[in-house]
Amino acid sequence: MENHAQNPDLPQEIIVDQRSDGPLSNLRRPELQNNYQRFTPIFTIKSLKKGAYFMQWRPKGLFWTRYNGTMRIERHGSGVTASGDFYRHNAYTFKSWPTFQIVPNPDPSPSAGIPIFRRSNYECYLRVTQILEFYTFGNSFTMKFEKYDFDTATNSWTNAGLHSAVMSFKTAPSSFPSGATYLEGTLKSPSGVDLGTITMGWVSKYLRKASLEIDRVSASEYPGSNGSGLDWKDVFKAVDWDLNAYQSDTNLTEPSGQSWSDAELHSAMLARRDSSDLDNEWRYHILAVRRLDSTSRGIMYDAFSGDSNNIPREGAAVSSHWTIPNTNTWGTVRGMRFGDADAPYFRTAVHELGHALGLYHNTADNGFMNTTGTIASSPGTFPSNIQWSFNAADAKRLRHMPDPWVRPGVIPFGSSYASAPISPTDAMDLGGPLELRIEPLLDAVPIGAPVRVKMTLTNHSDSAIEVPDHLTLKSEHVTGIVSDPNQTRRSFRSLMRCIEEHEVTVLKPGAKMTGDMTLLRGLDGALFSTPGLHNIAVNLSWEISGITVNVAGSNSVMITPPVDDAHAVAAKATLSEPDLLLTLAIGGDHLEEGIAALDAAMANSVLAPHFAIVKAKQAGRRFGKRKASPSDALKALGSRPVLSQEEANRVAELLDGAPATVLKKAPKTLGKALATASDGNKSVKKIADEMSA
Amino acid sequence: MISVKSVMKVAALVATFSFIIGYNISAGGREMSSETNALIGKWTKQTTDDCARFYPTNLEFHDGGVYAAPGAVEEGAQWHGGDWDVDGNGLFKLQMANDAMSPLNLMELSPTRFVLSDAADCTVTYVRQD
Repeated sequence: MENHAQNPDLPQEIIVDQRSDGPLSNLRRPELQNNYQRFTPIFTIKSLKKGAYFMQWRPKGLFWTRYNGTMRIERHGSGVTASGDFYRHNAYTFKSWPTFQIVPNPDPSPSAGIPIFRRSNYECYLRVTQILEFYTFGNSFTMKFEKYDFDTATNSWTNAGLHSAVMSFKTAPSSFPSGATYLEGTLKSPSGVDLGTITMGWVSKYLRKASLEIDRVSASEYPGSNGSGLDWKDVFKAVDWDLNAYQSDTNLTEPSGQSWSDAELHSAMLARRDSSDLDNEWRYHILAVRRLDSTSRGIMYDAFSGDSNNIPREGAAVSSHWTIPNTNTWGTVRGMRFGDADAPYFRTAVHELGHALGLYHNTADNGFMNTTGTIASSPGTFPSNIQWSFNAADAKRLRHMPDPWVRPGVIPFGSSYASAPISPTDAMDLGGPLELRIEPLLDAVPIGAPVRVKMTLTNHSDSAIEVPDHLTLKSEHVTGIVSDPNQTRRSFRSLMRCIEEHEVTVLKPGAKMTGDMTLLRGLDGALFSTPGLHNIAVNLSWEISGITVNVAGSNSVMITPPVDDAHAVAAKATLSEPDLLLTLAIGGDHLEEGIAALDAAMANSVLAPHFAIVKAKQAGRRFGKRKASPSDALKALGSRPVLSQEEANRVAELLDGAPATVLKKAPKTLGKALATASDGNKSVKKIADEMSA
Repeated sequence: MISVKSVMKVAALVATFSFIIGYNISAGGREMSSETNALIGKWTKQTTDDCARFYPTNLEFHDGGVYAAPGAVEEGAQWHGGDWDVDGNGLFKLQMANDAMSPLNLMELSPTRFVLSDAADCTVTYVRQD
């Protein structure tokens, strides 16, 4: 930005940004100032911070009663999903003899994080249908919700109609965490009657919090993680729960031999758990025992006739000494004792807790709420075909089902999901300022080959917006999910965990930026392992002044079946070798299995063009004592390599400085392929021209 | 409770199926009884008695010992899918919504229908869809 003193009559140059540490904050960021054009107003945004809010409704004219609760704000690619719960709160308490005083009944302290309320005071659920989805240029927005009153006697819900409030951003009272988003508005009934004041202030980045105590007999293992680094905290952080899971007793006495009945499990929970005040804590309990009477692997016994004290969904159990059948169905854990098979044992414990949280079986994918037997019988080798996440619908339930459904001790297990309200995900289409366009380089890709995807981020707004400086899988901004023809979802993200703060750039109004990624494998294995139509959903996520911003896009690609046996064999090599992804990402000669899979692909005429750039990069770069060989790189590229724009740039780097005689030996079709992929890049065009000369 | 008559009926059915298709059939590494084989496929609940409301409208028994109950969660049934097993004595086990393997009695089994009963003496009939 130029010197302001020379343009005192141009107030538009002042960047007003109230998003972070006060007005004019961007002026203190020279790296951004250089990117902003004069006269371009900066996006002055206010947004709802993701997380839990302490919410309060003070009914008009009611001195004694108010309603306290939480509002949950989830941010995702298509905007915001929000839901809330209210509990009755007496603002004052009457103290009887001998004082006969009326004393204030304090509200929960916002600084203590997510508040927990008494179950018996539960009043209603807020099914939010309209809220600030993305940003506002102003200071207020309209929130609308259907208020569902809860009947504790019948566990049923009544829709009391669509309520609304114009919520305005205010400075948070000092009792809230520093910098908390705070809003205030007047609640209106469906007929527009003023119902009083409603406030909500941010208290936690999580949506819900709970404790999980795990007790066990000495012979049973503690189901603490999946053996590959995923533990309880990780599983529930992914659904925005702050779960405190811990091992307590390790010496439970077996009441009648190694196998436990449901009644014995329930009795042991009551006797051995550390605490049981469900009105101050959402507390769940898991017992790890050798065997179970009612089933083989695990059970949420605190349901149906097993709920002997009519306080449902407090406890579950897993069995460590079930012997996994010694059949092919059970893959690499066949014949093992269950407690020795970390992955399925932990998965079962998560599954049972899922039941305690009010979730039912879900066979839409191999996520936590599918059954172990169904996953073992599904394609892929058990347990590597386990999906280490909740299905999206279950994740939404954990975030947004009413408190009585999820917290222990209220709604019994077994009611239909349809009997309870839940906020809609698509409350409002984003239709916002940014669009992420996803385009596969090829509409059809042979099985075994990587899929190249072009990402285009366009700013459709009238203002400049801070965005990541590169659209690439090498950054942590880009993540995604590939759904195969069987609707099995496999996620992908950067291989690298960057610890540096990510750079941002500014995308001007109407401007676009592009980036490429090459997809082969993800966290759950090969992404394109079966012929048919695959959907690629990409999420771009970053922060603007502490606010997480998401933009999503998707498209599909057709994976074609093997054309012959040789292709099938080569595809098997590329799909089954995990190190091939590392070879693709970082190159080098050291990943022997990855190189072997790459060579298998290069030996096949169908797959070779798709892996040519990977082989060319290996040959064209020095590794240890081996020198870089531009001519070998050129040879590896062949005549018609499949290249993204980024890969074409890499080719230009590899061949930079190569003798003209070498370039002239290149097939003319290679020059054309490079020219097509160059997208105007001068150095690529130059190499392509030299090849065509 | 299982009546003597029903036990005899099941025994007769077992004997009949054992004779017709052979008692044990191996599939997917699992020994399958004749009942197991006869149950594989898609079934629809025929009973409309109140006690049957917890049983899913649709059941799909697959080999490999897993079953699906499409729509069961939405209709409030207590069986949503999972493991299933049946032995030669008519003891039918079906994984419940909370993962208990609830014991049921397989009272009748024919190529087109089967009848089960539970501990509360609720009798439920399913007919084959496919």
